[in-house]
Amino acid sequence: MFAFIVTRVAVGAGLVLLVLTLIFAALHLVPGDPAVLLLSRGDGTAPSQAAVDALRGQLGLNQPLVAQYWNFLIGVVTGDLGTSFRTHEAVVASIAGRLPRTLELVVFATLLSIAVGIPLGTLAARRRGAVDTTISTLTSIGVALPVFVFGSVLVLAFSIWLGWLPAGGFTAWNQDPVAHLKGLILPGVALAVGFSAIIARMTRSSVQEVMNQDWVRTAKSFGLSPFRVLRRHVLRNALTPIVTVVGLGFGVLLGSTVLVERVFNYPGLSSLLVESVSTRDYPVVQGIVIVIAVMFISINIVVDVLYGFLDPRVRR
Amino acid sequence: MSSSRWARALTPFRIVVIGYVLILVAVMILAPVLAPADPLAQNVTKRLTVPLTDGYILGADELGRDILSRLMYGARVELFIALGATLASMVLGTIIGLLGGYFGGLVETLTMRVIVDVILAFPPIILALLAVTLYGPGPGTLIVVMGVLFAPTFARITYGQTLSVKREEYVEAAIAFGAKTVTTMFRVVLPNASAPTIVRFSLTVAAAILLESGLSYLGLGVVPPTPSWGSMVAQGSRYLSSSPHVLLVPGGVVVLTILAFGVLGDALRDVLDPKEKRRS
Amino acid sequence: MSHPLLSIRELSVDFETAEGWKPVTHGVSLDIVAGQTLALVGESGSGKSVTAMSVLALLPLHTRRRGSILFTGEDLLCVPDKRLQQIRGRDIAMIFQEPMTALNPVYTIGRQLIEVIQSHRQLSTAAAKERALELLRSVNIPEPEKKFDHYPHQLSGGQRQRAMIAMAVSSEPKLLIADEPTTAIDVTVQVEILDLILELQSRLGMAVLIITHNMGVVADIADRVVVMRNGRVVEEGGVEDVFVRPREAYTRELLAAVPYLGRAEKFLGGLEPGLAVTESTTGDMTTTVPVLELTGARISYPGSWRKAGFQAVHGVDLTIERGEIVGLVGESGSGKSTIGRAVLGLLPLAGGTLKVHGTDVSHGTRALARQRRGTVSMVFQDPASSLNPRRTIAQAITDPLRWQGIQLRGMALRERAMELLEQVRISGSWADRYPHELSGGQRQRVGIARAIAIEPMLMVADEPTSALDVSVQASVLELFLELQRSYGFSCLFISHDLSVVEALANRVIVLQKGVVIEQGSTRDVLQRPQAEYTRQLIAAAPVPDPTVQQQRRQARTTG
Repeated sequence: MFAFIVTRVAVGAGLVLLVLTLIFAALHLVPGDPAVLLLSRGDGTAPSQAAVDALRGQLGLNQPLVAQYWNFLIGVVTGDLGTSFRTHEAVVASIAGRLPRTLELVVFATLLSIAVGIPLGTLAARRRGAVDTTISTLTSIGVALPVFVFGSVLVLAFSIWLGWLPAGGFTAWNQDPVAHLKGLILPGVALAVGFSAIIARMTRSSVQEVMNQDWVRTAKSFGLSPFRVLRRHVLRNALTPIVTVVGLGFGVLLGSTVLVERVFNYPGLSSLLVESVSTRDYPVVQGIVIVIAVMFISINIVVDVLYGFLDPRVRR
Repeated sequence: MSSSRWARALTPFRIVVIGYVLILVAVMILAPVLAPADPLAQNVTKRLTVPLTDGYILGADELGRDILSRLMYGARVELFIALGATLASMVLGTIIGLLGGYFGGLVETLTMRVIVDVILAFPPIILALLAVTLYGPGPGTLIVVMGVLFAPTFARITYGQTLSVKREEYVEAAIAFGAKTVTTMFRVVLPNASAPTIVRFSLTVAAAILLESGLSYLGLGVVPPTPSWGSMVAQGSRYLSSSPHVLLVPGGVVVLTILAFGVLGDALRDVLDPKEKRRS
Repeated sequence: MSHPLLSIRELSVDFETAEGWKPVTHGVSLDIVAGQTLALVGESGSGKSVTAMSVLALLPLHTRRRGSILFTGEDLLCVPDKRLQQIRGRDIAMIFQEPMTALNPVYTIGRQLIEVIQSHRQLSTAAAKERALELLRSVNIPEPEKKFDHYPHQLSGGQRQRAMIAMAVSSEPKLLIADEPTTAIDVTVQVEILDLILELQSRLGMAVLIITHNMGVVADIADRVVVMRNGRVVEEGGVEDVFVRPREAYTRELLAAVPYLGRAEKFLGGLEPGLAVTESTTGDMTTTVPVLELTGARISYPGSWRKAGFQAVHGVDLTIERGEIVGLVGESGSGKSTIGRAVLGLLPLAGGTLKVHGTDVSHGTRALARQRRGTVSMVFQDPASSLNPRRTIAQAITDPLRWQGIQLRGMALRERAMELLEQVRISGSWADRYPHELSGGQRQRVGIARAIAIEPMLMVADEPTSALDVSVQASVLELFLELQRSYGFSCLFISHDLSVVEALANRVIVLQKGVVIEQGSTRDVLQRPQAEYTRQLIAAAPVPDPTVQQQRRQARTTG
């Protein structure tokens, strides 16, 4: 088991290196001068030579490519992701201020999705007929709902019409805990609707597949109660693919916050990302992309290790 | 046998959905003929007109532009990008997956571990934003970026299928009888590995519309004034309390379209991929 | 006859399909007396497993049972679910064909045993563990304390089936239902498992209902036999009566189709394995060049960075002369299929040389395949996967000709396909059908037609009939032998079944764990075996004769 974990972490570390290389290559290996690329407004006018020179100096673009790559990697490892073009703040500091808010939102939405999705999927798998059809239809719709449309509808219904919850914004926990939590509900639900539908679908097909396995028939043939068969021989085995979906989905949710934070005007990491993309503040964009990718890879490692705990056959 | 499979797969609901998809495709081609008005023509006196009044079937937006016409032209851009990106990702992903699954070893590591896993290490929208920052928004960027983003899905499906088909004895027979590698890969393995890919095509179109409309919503996808569904929703959100139809109409169309391609995918799976079929 | 323990009366099972209820069995009746062994035999589609599964209501959803199943006077079709739960595992227990999938992969053997023990008896976990270990010892699992903490995938097939049996007898049931319990297991282990079942039966005084397609197994352990076909009972009687004096024509045909080790002359209509061709090849001057020559062959499966490769064949020498059929026999893991794959160029040689008709093709897989063009052909095991589902049978047969550039024109290909179909006795009007429209036997005939299309010098046949029912097996083997005589190809015939090899091969090579144990003429090896392992294999091969099986059993228990 220990060797298994070490292997997974090593593979993950290799992947991080590849990802960093890709991000580096995205800017530096495209044809043309990266400084010109970053300064162009997309309207065909060339940036001034002075601005280009200044940027080249700031980004160290005058150094040889290998040195630039090396400095980039060292920077990432030591936590130096450069400074913002716009605010001239350290990128790491801006990220650190925003990241916890986004993580809180994503964790809340994930827990909500698990709590809704797994029971719903199990129910659909066990009861065929009308229950299954209803749940399947609901999940089809849930998967198809774009967060920015559903989020807007939530705002319309719960804050504009009913006035129960705030339409958006952010209140710090130490300022007003109740307002803080209230502010989480709508964005959390908006994020969770698609995710819980995905979990429900996966649970349904996984449970159905396991129910047809021979060992379930064996358990029945030894007179175990239906509940025991379901809990110990169906759900326990069906869990492995669901864990994978939850792990992957966590990453997708991180992405979806880009839209949700815009809808609810929520000042998290993703809204910083969108602002930075709009103003072409490349160091900040790059920093956030690195942080999110590393988080995503780490979650996948955790999922892999969990997988090993859940299924003795993959442990090696 | 297969005709009864068709009959079971084509429920009345699904026939309606397929009809909707066909209409969308017709609109995509014929938008200039079908649209009742110029999608860019402003009429400030008619701003925020509600649907079914003054000849505005689906109402007018904040600049008095006809929402139905804008949706039709939007469908054009939307489907062009979504279909283009999906086609690109399918070709790219299928080749990657086929190579990885067929040859194994170093080729497998390079394709499935390096290329696919690196792309999958990002939430899709994040990688798209990185690309937009560097190369600017617009349909070209979107098709290329989404083509790359969705390729891993196809690569993984084809890879898995190739691995299992390759173990079939008829493939071993082809190899042992001395069929050329290209023949074995493309004429023997690929046709038997492609059913889930076709199913996935429809689902990926849905995912591409979802992603594209999201980027346009952020103002980072299709650039105004070209009408696009996502940016129409974004504009609508500013008038949410007074004129919700400006948001709800395009939002509804986005949901319906994604739903339709999803349902189409389910129908295709029931017909093409009996292994995935649940009830015996 | 004493009062039956289990009495199935007029049982009809229907499956629900899109077209309505489809009957699978029609009014099946049978009785099992306490302490007795009843064998339910039949070919695929006979309804034997469905009948057995009906007893404990373990059929899939969307099935319907009618009739009655009386167990100690109680009708199991009518009892409430709670009562059925009590009976399951306590009074009637089951073991299944595939112990790998019948045990839950995520729990240890011990945990699954304890769960079953505690489901019928109020025992503390410590006491249940004690009982579980006792059971593991009673089914002769080596190192029971260690195996207790093993997961199913860490045990061998035979050990898994023993663990399954331990679970089944944990409550000392009155009836044990065994559904093809040894089908997935090698013959030498099969004997041990059957011995174990019989021993437990006499110790616990339980009745056994065994479902099997293997007449040798029936002859070995049954007291009474019920023969089923197409969902109906054809014949029922004591094991002696059914084997020696079968009343029904179907039973007689079935028994005649079973190859009987030591009586090959009665099988396949007395057709001899083919050396008949030597006269017809007088034009060939180089008569002494062997068709296949393997010297010191070592074959490994390549590993990857996370999985070590392993060597399956360690230095095998093997020669096949012109027109000769060589039987390669061994149990699973012996490397017999590996050798076949290497000869076909699907696996590279890690060492040694491989010569096909004098040409050294040991190295470079791709060039190897070219070298072999038109020389080596093959028939595979699984009729379900040996034909491309997207090619019609005419296309499938002629594809090798196109691949090898022998024949490319459409009309000529078509004519050749028709000719070949006729030779394997399939109507030309079937030429444009797809494989899924054919039965298993027909598909295997098409596979043979494809193999002879290139008029090969050497044929590799890897268990070509082990997936077929016995009656179909006999006709396919007969066809194969006829074609071998008329085409005169040499053949490497890979099989686990000694009786089939005896009927077909001129020479036999016995393989164990990648090493040749013994080789020689079929007669010498099978009648005067030199190696201990060969003797074990022969002794374990089930023969369809209750008297012989009884003698063997006595020899085993006394020896």
